[in-house]
Parts: sequence; structure tokens; C-alpha cells
Amino acid sequence: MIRRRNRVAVDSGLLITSMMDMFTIILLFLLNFFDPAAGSATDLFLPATSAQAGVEAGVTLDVSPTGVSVGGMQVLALDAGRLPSDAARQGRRIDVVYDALARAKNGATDADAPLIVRADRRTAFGVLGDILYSAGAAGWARYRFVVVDEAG
Amino acid sequence: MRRRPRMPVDFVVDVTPVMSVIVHLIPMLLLAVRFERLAQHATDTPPAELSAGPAPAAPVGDDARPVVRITHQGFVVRGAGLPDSKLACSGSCDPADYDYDGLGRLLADAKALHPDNAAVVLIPEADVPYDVVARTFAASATRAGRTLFPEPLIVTGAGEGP
Repeated sequence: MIRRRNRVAVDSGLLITSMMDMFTIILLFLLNFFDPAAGSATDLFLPATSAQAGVEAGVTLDVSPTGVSVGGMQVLALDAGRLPSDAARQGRRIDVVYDALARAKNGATDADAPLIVRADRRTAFGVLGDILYSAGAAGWARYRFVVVDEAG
Repeated sequence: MRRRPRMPVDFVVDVTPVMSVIVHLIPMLLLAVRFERLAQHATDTPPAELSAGPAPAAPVGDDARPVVRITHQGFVVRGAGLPDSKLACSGSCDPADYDYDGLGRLLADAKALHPDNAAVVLIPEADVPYDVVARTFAASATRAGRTLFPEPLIVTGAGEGP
């Protein structure tokens, strides 16, 4: 008579150690490229040029087709990249932009900190010029124009 | 007294919740992340302003500084000992159609005449897209690894001119 072995239940756990390893590496890789401060305007496309690598820290001025933001807070809505006709102005100075930049200038810990300008590549320079004029009136003298590094 | 035999306990970590979190995080990050490296063009000189009107002459007189007027038809270069030059853009004058290479050659000549000067005056017209201005920054800053004029002085308030 053939002796039968008692069938022993085999607990075959799923070996996911390798998958965990892979997922953790992918997650760390993506976290390395994720910058919550850079993504404040999803419709903002920077121009691509060759430039000095690296961006200094400072107060950010974002100019997208939909609005102007200072330090991540929108201060002025734009109409397809154009300044609204009813925006309060004194000559070329845009009051709401001037006020926000003046507050940021007064609140800056470093008096020589530069203004980080991130403008959409489609922005007409006339619009950007008025915004920069307002920034100059608010006391900003140093500017850093952020671009996408073509070499990167 | 009878003691129970001590059985080894297999301590198995249940990583299912961790896997779930990671599986949700990865698509979210893939949607939010942009794989690009940022750089900057620096200027420590606040923008100057022109008086209203078309086609102003070279402002902020400093004979060592080349003046580049950016129009919707191309570049107009003068100053710094250079002959007045017009560099027309090709095609439909999209930002990539401007003659940045020609501008770089002219500015290299200006740099040879004034090697100690690092400033260039840029006068973009109001309807020129910022993309052109940014590319002009790059074209005037370096050429073939050689430093030209890395300190742009931006002049705002230019109307439309010839």
C-alpha cells in the first residue's frame, strides 16, 4: 500500500519585496523633481534659453496669461495676457501690483534680495514692462528672470 | 507543571497599506512634476523708462554700451562703435525666427571694441513676446563660450517704431 504523505497546506505569501524596492526608488526620484513652489501656476510656460544655472531664492513675481502673482498670491487677474482696462493705475504704475510688491519689499529679511520674475513666454513685453515699472517704483532694483535651461 | 513549548513566531510585516499609499502617490507626482532644470538671467540694474513715442534714439548715453532695439520685425543694433544694423527676422517672425546668431556676431564685434564693458541696452517694443526678450538675454550674454554682455539694461516704454 502506498503511503500517502499528508498534504500540508503551504502558505505561499506574495513576495513583493522587489516591487516595494522599485516603487520606493521611483517615489524618491519623483519627489526629487517635485517642487511645490514652482507649480503655483500650471498655465505658466517659461522661455527656454541658455543661462546661468540655478535660481536664487527671493520673492517671486509670476506673470501668467491669467494673472499676476506675488509670493504665490494672485494680485491681479489678466485677460488672456492683457492688463484689465479698469485696473487702478497711476501712469504706468499698476496700483495692486505696486502695493503687493511694496509689502513684499518691506517684509523681506534681506534688503538686497532680488525679485524672481517668472513670466510666461507668450507675455507681451508691454504688459511685463508695466509690471516691472511697478516693481521698480516699489523699490526692487535687482531682478532674476527665470528660464528653462536649454542645456538641462 | 507542564509548560507549553515555545514556538518561534514569524513576524511578518504587512506592507499592503504602504504599497497602497505609494501606488497612489506615484501617479499624482507624475501629473505634477515637470522634468526641467531652471536657470536665470540676472540684472542688478532696474529697468529704465523711455518717454512715450515711436523710434527713440539711443537712450542712456554711454558710447561703450551697444543698444539693441527689439521690434516685431527683428533687431536694430546701434552704438558701441558699431554701424547701425538691422537684422530682420525670417518667416513669420516667431520667437525662433529672430536672427540671434547675427546679433551675437555684432555684439562680439562690439565686445572687441569695448572689452571692459559688460552692459547692453535692450529696448523691446510693447508687442514683442517675452520669449524673444529672454532669448536676446542669452544671445547677448555669451557666444561660443565667450562672455559678451551679461548685464542687460532693460528699457521699457518703447512704442512701435521702424
